[in-house]
Amino acid sequence: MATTKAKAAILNKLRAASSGAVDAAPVSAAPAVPTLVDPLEHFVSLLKANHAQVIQCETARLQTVVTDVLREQGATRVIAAERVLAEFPELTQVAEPLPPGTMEDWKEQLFNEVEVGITSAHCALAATGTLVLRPGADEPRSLSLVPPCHILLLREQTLYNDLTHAMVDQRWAEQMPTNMLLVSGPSKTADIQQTLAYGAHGPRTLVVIILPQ
Amino acid sequence: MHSTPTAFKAQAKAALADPVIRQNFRGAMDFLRGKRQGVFPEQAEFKALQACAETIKQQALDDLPQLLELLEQNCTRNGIQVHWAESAQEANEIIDGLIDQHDGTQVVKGKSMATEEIELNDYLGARGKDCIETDMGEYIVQLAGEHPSHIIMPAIHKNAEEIGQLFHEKVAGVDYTTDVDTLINIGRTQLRERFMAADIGITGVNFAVAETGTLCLVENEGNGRMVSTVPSVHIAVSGIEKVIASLQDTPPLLSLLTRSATGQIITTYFNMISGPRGYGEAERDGPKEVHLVLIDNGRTQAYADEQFRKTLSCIRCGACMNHCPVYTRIGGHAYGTVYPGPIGQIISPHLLGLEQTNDLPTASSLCGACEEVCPVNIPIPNLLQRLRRQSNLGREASTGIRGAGSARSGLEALVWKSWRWACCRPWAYGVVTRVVALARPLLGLVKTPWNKGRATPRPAPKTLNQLLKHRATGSNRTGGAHGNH
Amino acid sequence: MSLEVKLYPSKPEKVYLYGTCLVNSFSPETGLDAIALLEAEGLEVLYPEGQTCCGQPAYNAGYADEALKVAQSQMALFPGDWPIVILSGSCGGMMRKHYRELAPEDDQVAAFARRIFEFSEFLVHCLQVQLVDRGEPESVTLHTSCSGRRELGIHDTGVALLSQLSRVDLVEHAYATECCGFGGTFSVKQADISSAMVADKGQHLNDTGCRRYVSTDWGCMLNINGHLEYAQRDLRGLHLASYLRERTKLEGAE
Repeated sequence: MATTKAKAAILNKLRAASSGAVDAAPVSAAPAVPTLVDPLEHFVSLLKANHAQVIQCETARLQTVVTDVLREQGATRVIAAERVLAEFPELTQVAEPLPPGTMEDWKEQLFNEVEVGITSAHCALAATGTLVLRPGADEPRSLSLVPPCHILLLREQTLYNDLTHAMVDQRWAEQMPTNMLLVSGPSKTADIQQTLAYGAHGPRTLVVIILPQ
Repeated sequence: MHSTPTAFKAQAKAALADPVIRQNFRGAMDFLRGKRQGVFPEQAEFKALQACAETIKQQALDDLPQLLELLEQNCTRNGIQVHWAESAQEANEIIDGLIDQHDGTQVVKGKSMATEEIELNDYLGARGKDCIETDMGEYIVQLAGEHPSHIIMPAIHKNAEEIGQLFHEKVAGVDYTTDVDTLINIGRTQLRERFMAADIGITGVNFAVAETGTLCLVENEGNGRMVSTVPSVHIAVSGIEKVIASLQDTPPLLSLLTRSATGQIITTYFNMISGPRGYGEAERDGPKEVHLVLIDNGRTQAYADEQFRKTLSCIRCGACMNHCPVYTRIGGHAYGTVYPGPIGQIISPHLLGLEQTNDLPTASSLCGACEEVCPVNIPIPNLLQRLRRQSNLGREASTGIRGAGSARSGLEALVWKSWRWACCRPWAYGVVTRVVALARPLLGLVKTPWNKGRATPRPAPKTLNQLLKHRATGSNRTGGAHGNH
Repeated sequence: MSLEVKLYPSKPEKVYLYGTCLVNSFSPETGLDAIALLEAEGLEVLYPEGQTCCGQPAYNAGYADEALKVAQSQMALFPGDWPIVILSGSCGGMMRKHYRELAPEDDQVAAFARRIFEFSEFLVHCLQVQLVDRGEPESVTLHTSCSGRRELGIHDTGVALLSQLSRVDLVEHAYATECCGFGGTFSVKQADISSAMVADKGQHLNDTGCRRYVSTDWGCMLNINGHLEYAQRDLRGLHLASYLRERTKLEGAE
């Protein structure tokens, strides 16, 4: 196979050029991201600066808050990840699960009908105002991408200082899921004359709801 | 309009004479420089992060063969199929083959300089396959039948008026507008149809993590996610130098990349892909197959030389071009290469050979602005000087860079030989400088390229050496006629 | 870029002056002014005969062998262990940084490179000069060469000296850090680009409304002054050494 031949040729050229004696200088450690005095405040202000809506609310009020957001959006077709519905059953009042089957079965609905997708955040990073998503069987990748409005639910205690902290603490390197995603705002572009426009291809609106312990 | 590096001077001249190009680039570069400055308030912090990134990339390059094998192993374990290509041709054949294998008819692509480099769109187009660009900038450039003029902001050479006109002419039912939100929404609407219908998605790779077999994509728009999520086959195309050792290497590199490129502390999306749908659990979406195509295309040539190997550290942030006074004035198309600006000037000779790219190393005042902002500390001016030597000399051709010595001019070599001869013989140098001083009234009559916008400098009637001839030298050696070599 | 931490010696008895080829031919008075300023600080200034060129033009053009030969001939002119003061940032960059690249194994070259000081750098860091301004009030702007700024890391010494002048208002011009477009052979090989760059530089300097600008590099100044003359502007540049001597009204030695 051509690609096997190419592999051998490339690796041979690289090996021939490698000095052999790789000096074992330690990787100079990344300068630590400063520990934030008020990580939550920092997180919220960065997300807002990046055009996300941020709402902090008691878990008991979640359904009301979501209902308000949906009314504001004028949304009628709302889908929540099964993971979300399992954790917050009260949301079945305002959102439905995806139809059964795989993406091939509901792709057109997702693109053409669904106005809001509700998913969960696996954790968050204060230093950059970032949410970490960990899609899976009960939370498809496309639910946070295709509908024009994305609502993200975050538990406050999962807020880390920064990316390095999160990946070390949770030992990501041991087992990465098929997909892991950092989101720091609604989709945007500045490709036309450096003018910022939101909703390039992904959600135009990102609503982050922060729930306490 | 296909520009080429062999016509660099003519292309540069045309760009310099175009006030719209000049204004579009000056405005854009000012904007990007300002943004970058805003997120690196402390030079010390930049330096520390830069040192870290330089080490990460340097070590990854030192271990490149091992890391590539490890990457392949871990990708394969994760269900990502790895392909290797020595040349652009091979890479295109692999991708074309994969499309055929899946009876692909609708191909969408995320922004990827590697696929620009191998001219994938042209290759597929010649085989009757449309490959739609989905990054807004790339989409605009493709509609216009052009190529990107910047590696991060592909349509930076166009202003809103030009884009409004383009959409009006090329997209059915669109009225002329300069409202950016409206224009973006037109692109969004057009491309969502494409995402939904696509069966093959192609992207580049920002970092390929060997330790975990993870492909990382950095973007703001979400088109990269669309392309790697919705179609049933995702093909990621990457130069072999994108591999890094461990997942923990990504935070500093990501931070430097986004801050250097667009002045963002992080982009909207950082997508880490470690396998196709359901590889581990019963996922309901995501591509059913993920392929990684690893491309050499001249990189092993740069790798073979310890100095040129540094060019492979590049993380494609574009800061060097944003800060380059030459790029700022002539824009990206004038270079006639896929990678424009300072980094392009040191990469392109490896991709294309020096015969075709001889002008590029000369197109720099060696001001060092590129090196100053490079997040991985690539000594670009030094490498440009090295390339100038390579193109002039037969002597260093043994390092194996294609086309070494191809710019050698017998006349120029003779000029420098004579110059050396005089500079090593102070008496001769004295004669020359005194003759030039005497001839000063005549010098204004000689017109050289210098006189493009500049008056000829006038030598003083007497040289400093003449004026100070009597001054003590403080040594028992006086140079003079004995100083010959 | 990897700038070494530069160690500055305390004030020596004697210094060498390296005039540079451009000062030699185009502005010998810059050399005389520099000598006057150094002597006023109580230094003996040695000006070895046989100075030609540092070799930078050939080095930048990609003729390293030629550059090395010339570099060797110049290094031989400075046998004493005194600092060598150079009237140009780019020649300074050549002698301090690139000589070592031409002869990386040669310890003597490395030792030579450590003795190289650009003029303004030497005044500020080795002599810690205190200037007394005796001139009329004036606004002036400063162009720092790219080599001075980025190869030698001395973008602040020109500012430090001019700021000592009590009746001089130092005005920063737009895009002050941007190259003037000289670049040695670049100005001839890529004359169109180079002249577009210098036209912008001339504009930005002129926009300050100053009558004069100051620089420490005659390479940049031949380029910028050449453009200003071509564009029929009144603004002109002069070397920092000449400007400081004029402001402090020092009597000259020559």
